[in-house]
Amino acid sequence: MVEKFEKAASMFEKESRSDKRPTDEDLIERFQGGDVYAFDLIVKRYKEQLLNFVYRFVGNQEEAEDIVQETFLRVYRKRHAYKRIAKFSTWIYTIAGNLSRTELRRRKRRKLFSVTDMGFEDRDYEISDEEYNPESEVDGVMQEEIIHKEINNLSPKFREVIILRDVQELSYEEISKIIKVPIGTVKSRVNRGRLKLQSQLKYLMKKK
Amino acid sequence: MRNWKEFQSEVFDYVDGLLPDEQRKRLDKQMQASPAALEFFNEVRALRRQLKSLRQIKTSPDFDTVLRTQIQMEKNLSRRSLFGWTTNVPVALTAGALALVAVLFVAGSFQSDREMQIATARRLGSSATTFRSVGNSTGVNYPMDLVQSHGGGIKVDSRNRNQRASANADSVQTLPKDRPIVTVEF
Repeated sequence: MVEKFEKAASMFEKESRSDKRPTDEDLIERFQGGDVYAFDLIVKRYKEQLLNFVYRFVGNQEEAEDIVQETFLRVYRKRHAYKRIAKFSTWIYTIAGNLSRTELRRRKRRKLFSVTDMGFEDRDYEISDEEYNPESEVDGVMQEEIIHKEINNLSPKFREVIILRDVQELSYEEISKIIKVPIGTVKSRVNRGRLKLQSQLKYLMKKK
Repeated sequence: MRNWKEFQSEVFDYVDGLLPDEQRKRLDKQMQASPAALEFFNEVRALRRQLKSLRQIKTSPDFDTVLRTQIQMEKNLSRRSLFGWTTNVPVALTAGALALVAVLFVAGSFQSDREMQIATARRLGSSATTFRSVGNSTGVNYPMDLVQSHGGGIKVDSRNRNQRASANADSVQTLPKDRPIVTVEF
């Protein structure tokens, strides 16, 4: 097993050094033909990219990693379902996005259940801190956390497109294929998401 | 005159690099003239910069190992489901063997019953007359004590029934005289 991995890793290095780097579509085709090293290369190419997308989407690194694992498992299982008419990245992002949405729905149900289970006195309401001063000094890490939190406060339909467009820098066309909505709708969601974020993070933007 | 919403939309296209040259120049002029427009544009740009530069997280060191283990488990599972029937081989074999024994037993008991009857018929008489039926015998039970094997078929002895019956009283039951006799082709 370890030898296989090392072989795949060395192949990956060779391929990344050479000009003729196989495309994702070539790799999945090779994998469909039984080449398991091609699958390892796919994992290497996409694991971090997908992890960052899913992490920003679900907001938790552990859960994000589980989802990415499941995404690769699905690719492994359903490799023959992929047809070259679509970009491989679109396909894999769609799988990861669907799994993330499922996780968010599950989490929402759990939350709803646990809140309705509690008595009135037990319920914990988040009260906004009146004394919180957004103008206070924030370092880079804190700033990062604030942005991450604000992204997570967006509704999932805005959050997903903002991450795909502004964090992952995918094209509107590709996003439209991933989430299966028209380009116009994607653009409108991105813009609305940006406006929401902007209003929440205005004080940070002004500092810059 | 464009409204504020249209202006915002153009600014977003501008930062996305999707605005045609002509429109971009017009927007530049507008922003120079309006501090509010310029402020909005700067905020949009700053937000994009912030989002682009968000920290990229890394997968945990055991990510690949965990994935490979999961795939291996998946493979084993699918192999087991593919050849799942093999795990039930002893059960299937036992059931099959039992069924076969039951069939053989039932067939054997029929066979021995028939052979016994044929042997009895043989003992009953020396010469046999083959006949199709006596009287109106359709659907009537034939007396098996008179059935005799003869070449490929069966013959039924019709002679001196009472005589034979008394001679073989120890093994053959006496039949009523009015009972019709039929031949059955097996």
